[in-house]
Amino acid sequence: MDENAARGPWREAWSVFRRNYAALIGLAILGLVLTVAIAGPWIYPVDPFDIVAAPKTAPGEDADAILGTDYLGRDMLAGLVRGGRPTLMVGFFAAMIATGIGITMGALGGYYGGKVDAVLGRITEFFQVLPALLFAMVLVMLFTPSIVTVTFAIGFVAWTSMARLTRAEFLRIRQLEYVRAARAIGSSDSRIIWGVILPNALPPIIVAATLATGTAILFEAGLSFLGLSDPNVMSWGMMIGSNRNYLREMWWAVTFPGVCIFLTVLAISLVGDGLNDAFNPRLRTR
Amino acid sequence: MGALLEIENLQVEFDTWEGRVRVLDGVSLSVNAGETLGIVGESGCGKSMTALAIMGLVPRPAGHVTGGSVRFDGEDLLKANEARLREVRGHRIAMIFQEPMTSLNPVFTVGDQVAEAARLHLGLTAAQARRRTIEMLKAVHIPEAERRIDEYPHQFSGGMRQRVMIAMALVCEPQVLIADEPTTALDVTVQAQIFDLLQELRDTRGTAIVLITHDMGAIAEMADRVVVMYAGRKVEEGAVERILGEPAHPYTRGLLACRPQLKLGPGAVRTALQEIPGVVPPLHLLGRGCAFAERCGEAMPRCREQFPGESEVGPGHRASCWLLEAPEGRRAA
Amino acid sequence: MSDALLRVDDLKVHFPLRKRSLFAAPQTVRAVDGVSFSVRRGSTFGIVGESGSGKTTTALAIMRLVDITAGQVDLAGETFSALQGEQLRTARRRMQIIFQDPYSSLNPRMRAGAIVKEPMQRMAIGTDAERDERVRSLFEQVGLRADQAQLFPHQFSGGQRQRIGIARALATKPELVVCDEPVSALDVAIQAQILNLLGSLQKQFGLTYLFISHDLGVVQYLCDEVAVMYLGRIVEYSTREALFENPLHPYTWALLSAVPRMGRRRKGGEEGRNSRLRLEGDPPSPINPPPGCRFSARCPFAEERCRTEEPLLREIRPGQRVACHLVRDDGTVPHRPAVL
Repeated sequence: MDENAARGPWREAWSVFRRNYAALIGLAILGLVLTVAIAGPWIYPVDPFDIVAAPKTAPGEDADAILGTDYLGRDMLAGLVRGGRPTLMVGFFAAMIATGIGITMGALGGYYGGKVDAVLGRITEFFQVLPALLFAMVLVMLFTPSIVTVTFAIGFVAWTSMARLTRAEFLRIRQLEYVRAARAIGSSDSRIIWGVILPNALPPIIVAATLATGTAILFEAGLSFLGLSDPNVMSWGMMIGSNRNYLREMWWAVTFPGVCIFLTVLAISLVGDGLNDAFNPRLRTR
Repeated sequence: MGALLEIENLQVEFDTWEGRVRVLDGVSLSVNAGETLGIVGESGCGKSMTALAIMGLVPRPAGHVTGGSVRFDGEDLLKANEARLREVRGHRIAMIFQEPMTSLNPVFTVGDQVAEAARLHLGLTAAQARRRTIEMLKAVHIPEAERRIDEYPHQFSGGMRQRVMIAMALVCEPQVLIADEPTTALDVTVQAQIFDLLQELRDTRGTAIVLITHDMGAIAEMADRVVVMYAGRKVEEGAVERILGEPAHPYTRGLLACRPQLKLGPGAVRTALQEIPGVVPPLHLLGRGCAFAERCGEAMPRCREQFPGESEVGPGHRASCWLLEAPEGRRAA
Repeated sequence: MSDALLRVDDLKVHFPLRKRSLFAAPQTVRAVDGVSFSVRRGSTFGIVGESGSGKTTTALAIMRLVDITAGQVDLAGETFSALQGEQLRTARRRMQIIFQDPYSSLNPRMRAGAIVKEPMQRMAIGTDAERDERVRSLFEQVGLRADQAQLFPHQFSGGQRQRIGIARALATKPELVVCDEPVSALDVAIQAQILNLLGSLQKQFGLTYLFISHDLGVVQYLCDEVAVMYLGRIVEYSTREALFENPLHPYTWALLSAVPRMGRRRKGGEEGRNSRLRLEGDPPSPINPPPGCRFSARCPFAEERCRTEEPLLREIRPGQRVACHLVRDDGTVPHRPAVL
């Protein structure tokens, strides 16, 4: 019975989170990536589509292109600096879309059960067995590649695990007594779903959404690699992809963007793990 | 030393968010062969932790046994290594738990689980273990034991599962059975059956029983001697008639008075409920004084400053309370 | 009775079970199978039983938190069981419930004050300022401090959480409060505090309680009338005095006999076993109740008639009703063991 502060569940989670060194490192890396993505273009205003030096220049050979150039002679460093923004944006918004669809499907199915759950469940299964990357490719092709279509396509294929998770949480929470208490005081179904159960179901959903961001980034990299992303936007995946015929000669075309993707996804995973531990009620004192 | 199990000055500490907390602070008690010792107290008083400490099951890494000794038949279990403890557990000292729903492994048959203990400790062959298991299941009055031995826990009701637990615990004829709130999760009629069973087994096998409970009524019916615990310490101990009839410690008196007592027969009068105000203090906030002082109607300034030593109230009856100290400062060891 | 606040008439709650195979006959759980009683305004009515008795389901059905299969529930003359939608939501303010488990009956993400305020918000009672004032006053009445309103449930002990639950139940000034085993999950010393609190609140606000419990000692302390339930039916329904001075049903005797009591040392051996009325086996499940008296399978006194003909609840004398063939019309129970 600690009266020191009205420590809500979020504050408590934060205090556990900040003791987790791995999670803090992840957060720091993310912060770095974000800073470069936002402020980079001001500091290093080279257009990644400009040709600055001879094609296929290795890093360190030419002063105009410290990290080398790609197969057309475009600056690698500029690409890295500019590439963060679309990567992160696609990752974030696609995860948001997936979460939005997934929560709705899972919440309604988990709360109402019966026929509603059966129908929503079949829809979820249908999307689940679709080969995700292929389906995303098809969607992008259908609607012409642009950053918006890529985002929606990824969001549209990645929602099924969120739906399953949400549904499981709803099934668990729905039978707790405080839900019954909410009904006893006159709450409507929609109030119970969105106002009572969902806030309590959020912790694993937040963790899953965080990890989904990482997955979305990898998806985007994959789509870009296959040439299915917005041709006007230089993302890290595109950097690897556009040089795909020359990868054996140009190690730097894979390594630098690859490391960036790897670090970003790693950072997201570390933060996601940290959130998972932070929300885990086992660690909370009763 | 006639006692079968002798605990002296047991200290257990836990690492928590609030730092190192002492959950057991110098608890001493003893169990004689064939007797039933009741340990009574509310949640958090440390009674379950005492049982776990005896069995060497204090949860790690957060829990630490930081002092005292647990002598079983002369041997200090706290100093024993894991291998020796495994020999003792289940064989010489057995334990049954509160939740029969979760204490049995759902993927093994009931027979497997009872037989496992027999094969582990008694070195029986599979066939011998099976015979012994059927014997035990019959001893705990499970009907159609020969058939039910191959059933799974979910096919048994709560009361039946608790009987299976008892069978598992007694299959190796232990000298001590520790029962940690064995009936709290059960219906009252089933509870009565389980107490009957424990009593019958005690009468026929001479097993000593340590009955841990918060129910004074169960203590009244089953125990020979009683230990009352509060906030990690023992506050009173004695024969059950004395504890119930002439409780010395204010907490014991409070526990007895606050329970609505069932009265039957004509002219049955409603007994008033006397409450103990306040709540058990959080263990990390305990000072040097008596932990009960805050809630005690008779607390003196001295109570908050120093924890009272044990005073002798009667033969075999001791309590730790400054109110019992005679003005001359008489104190028994 | 004109001063009956709650009247329950032949209440039935049946749950269909999933069929075990495509061809098996559908089974139903008859959790509550024809329960009738009435509660006087200002009194406390106790329902006692073990697992499978249907006592909790009865309480939830009365509250309309569980669907009623058949039967009627009247609250102050209004047919509560027939209300739907918005009418039901507004009618709920007159009947509130205190739940058993203080650890799961409060929303962990809401502050204590908000939990107590919410019923008034849902039912559009009062202005915001009035609601805050009522929360303050309720907190005080249940023994909590006003500054604790901003804390979250996990920062309270079990007893304090139950006080929050009580405050929440009283927020809409209900006439009837259903108490579903409100002290079973609490430590003994705290139980006494909460029971005393419930008693004083009842006097202060003229509340009527429907008190569900498995604990006969508590029931004797608190209740004016008691119904004993077994497998979905009421087997004995009497005033408190009558039930504890002159219990009539064998199941009631078994319950009374099973309660561990202070003044009675358990006698070992043969003598001991004969001094108690023991039931064999476990409480059966309400899925396929046997024909005739539901208790006949475990009743030590059961006769042939008991196994074929279901006994009806009949009034033996004013204030005492029992459903048992063996109770004579003049109210004598020659088969009752002397130990009781």
